[in-house]
Amino acid sequence: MSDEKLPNILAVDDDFAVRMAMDFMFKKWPEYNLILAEDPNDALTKLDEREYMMMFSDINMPVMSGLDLLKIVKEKKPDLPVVMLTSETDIQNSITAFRYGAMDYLLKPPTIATVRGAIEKAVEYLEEMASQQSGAIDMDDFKDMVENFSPEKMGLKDSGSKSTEFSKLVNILQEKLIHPGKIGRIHNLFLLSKSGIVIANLSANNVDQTDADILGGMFTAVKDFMEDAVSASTTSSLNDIQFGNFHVKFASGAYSELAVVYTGILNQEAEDAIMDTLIAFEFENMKVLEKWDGDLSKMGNSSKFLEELFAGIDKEKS
Amino acid sequence: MDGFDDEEWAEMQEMYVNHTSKELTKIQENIDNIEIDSLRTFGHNIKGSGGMYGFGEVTTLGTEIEASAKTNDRDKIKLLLEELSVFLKSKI
Repeated sequence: MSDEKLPNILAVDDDFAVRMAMDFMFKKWPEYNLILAEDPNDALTKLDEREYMMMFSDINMPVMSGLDLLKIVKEKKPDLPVVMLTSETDIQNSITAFRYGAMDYLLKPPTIATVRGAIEKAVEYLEEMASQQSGAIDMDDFKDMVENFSPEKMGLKDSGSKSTEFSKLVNILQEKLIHPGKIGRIHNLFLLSKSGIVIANLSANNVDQTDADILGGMFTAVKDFMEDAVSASTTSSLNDIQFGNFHVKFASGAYSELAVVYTGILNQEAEDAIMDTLIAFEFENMKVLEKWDGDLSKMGNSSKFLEELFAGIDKEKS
Repeated sequence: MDGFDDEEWAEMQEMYVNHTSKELTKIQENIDNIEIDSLRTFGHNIKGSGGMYGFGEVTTLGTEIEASAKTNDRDKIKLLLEELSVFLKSKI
């Protein structure tokens, strides 16, 4: 049954059994119009035929994988929420999916609850996108703010004080860092030098290198500022700064900092993992870090530390 | 599966058994000509879907078929497909 007035949701899976289960589920939700595709090429054809609210896609498919399909879809329709379905427990697929712009992933078999939850996240995501587009601040403004970020210039010398600029800053950080579809998880990991150079970053959403570099400077400035001017948690061995509904947790090493952007709560195990990651990174790169001149090519594969940390914490919270 | 009533669940299981039986028959008829990767995909798919429709036995057989395909053991796969056939017939 197809009703052009209802929001369309596309589901692509080469396995008939999964398509059939999705079909049964959607019979319970007449407010949505499910369109099924049996392979990525079929999905691409159907995507051209009408507008969709979101897409579910299997990862493991012959000829073209769901990850390749995701890459193509996000190039054509960057705002389309895509949820990947996989029976693989390999977290690397999930990280790759997030890098390619997936909103979330569901482990197979999908259930009524998980599919419905994903639809609701997509609705929230689209609403968030709409509100961001109406109040978006461009990168030039952002750069100016980072360059001029200081307690004095922002009139924030007194603890707890607020200003329009500060609120604006928080909004930008939210816009750049938070992936609305992934509430209650790790969103971004930034490995920074003490001077704020981004050594590596791993993001659940799309943060390009320019944004990452700016955010690196931003984190260092925010951390320095917050430590002095605004109350920050001192109960933890790690600094944890809250901005609205998200947190930035900093682990400080001898030569570097690890900034973890997350929503929800991180348990002690996660905090330990963050610190352990930083220690392991510094241990492996000690000789370079001691005399580092900012040349990233001299650093080893620092991304692997973030990938392992992301995998560990994300798996724990799944 | 949680969220479906008994009638829906029975309908889903029946459709699943019928569909999988047809797929299985096609495979068994051409077993010597089918690419090993297609057999692996079949095993992989029923591994995922068996449990979804309440058939843990299908998931177990799917796991074994997938593993046997990875080692290119067609003889083992034939035996596993026969086991699957017997199981599915018991559900019709």
